[in-house]
Amino acid sequence: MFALASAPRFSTSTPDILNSENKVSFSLPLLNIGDATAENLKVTSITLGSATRLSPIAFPAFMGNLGASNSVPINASFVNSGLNVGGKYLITVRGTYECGGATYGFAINRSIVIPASVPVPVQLLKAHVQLAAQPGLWSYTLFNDEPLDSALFIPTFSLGIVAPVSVIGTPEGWSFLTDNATSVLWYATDTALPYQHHIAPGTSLAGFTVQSSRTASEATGFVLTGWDHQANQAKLSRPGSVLSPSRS
Amino acid sequence: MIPHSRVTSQMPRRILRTCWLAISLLAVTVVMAATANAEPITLLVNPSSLSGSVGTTLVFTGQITNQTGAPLGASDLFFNFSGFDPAVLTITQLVGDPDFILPNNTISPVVSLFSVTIGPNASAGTYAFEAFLQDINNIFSNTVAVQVSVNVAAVPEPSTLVLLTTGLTGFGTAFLKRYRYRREIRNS
Repeated sequence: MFALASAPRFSTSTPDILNSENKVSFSLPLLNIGDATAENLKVTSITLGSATRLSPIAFPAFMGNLGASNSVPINASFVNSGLNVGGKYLITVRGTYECGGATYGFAINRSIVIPASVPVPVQLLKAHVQLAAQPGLWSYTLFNDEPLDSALFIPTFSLGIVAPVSVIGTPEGWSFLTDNATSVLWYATDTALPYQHHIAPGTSLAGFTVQSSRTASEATGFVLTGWDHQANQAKLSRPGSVLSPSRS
Repeated sequence: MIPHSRVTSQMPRRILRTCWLAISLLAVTVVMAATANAEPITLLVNPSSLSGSVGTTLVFTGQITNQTGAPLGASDLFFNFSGFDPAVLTITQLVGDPDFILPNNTISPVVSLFSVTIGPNASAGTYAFEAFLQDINNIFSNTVAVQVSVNVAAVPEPSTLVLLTTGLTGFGTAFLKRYRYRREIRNS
């Protein structure tokens, strides 16, 4: 297989780097400096030295089509244990793209210097989502990791999807909205205090389930919102990524 | 007044000297022009074509020329690869570890640039890709076309193996019979 005369070529530019919350996160611009569109661009691995990757949580990561003279950010985070402040480590991003009907590989490299650790620039709701996957079923459990004396409860769970799904699981006291193609929004149906169905600090709630004909999973985004029961208003949120039915 | 004979003997020397100066000046200008138009970073992969069998890792070596105007750290050089068959080749940057400093207007010694691992499912053939360097200031080198030739050991067809085994067995049996016959003749 030989490279095409008119073809995508890849380079990088200076990444943004954050060392916070025991992890190093970066956003590395991937540029197409060739003269053809890199179609169906996928990232199949991201490494930072020998550090443990936290996100993306799964590969391939779908980046879409990258036209000539365009760029797309490659975002990743790694456990910062073992990454010394001031030390230089090599990022390697590998992936594939299509051009002229054929699939090609690419690999780019960029070294970064680990900056000093800083406090979290934006305060986030302490929460996470756990997935239990079976063939054709994706079931999510939401965890409110706020301290027990916190006033922050969880009233909504928004899940990005990239495949047609049917919502077949919704906990009691919750309902959902979906277009069955791009997102599912589960929400607690309480309209006034004490909002008994909100997820309390230190507790969890299971039963959020979607069904799909897809057999594979890919990482998509989610958002958990927080509601301050003392101030009786929305406060903080937690974005993240979790596996959901794959687009193909 | 200069004597005519002195004028005539010195003139060829002066002409020669003038011509030599003109040629030298021209040569310097050409060299400077060539240098000014050269890549700030020049990548030489030598050899740019290697062969290997399935499962092996090939190390490509070469030299880097720095004409960026400032010293260049090897760990501030990044390889970008594209156009290869991802099912066959895995390419890994090697340059930068160990680190070294390349002063301006300097050619590096021969160093290991990158490695290519041939995957277990590779078929025999030639696989090509492109490679170029960029530095931390986003200055690019020239692009080099690299080739990897995959050798796959020929395996005899099963029918060939059967024929070979049968032939060898027959040969051995015939030899044994003849040996025993001769021994009997000798002993009788």
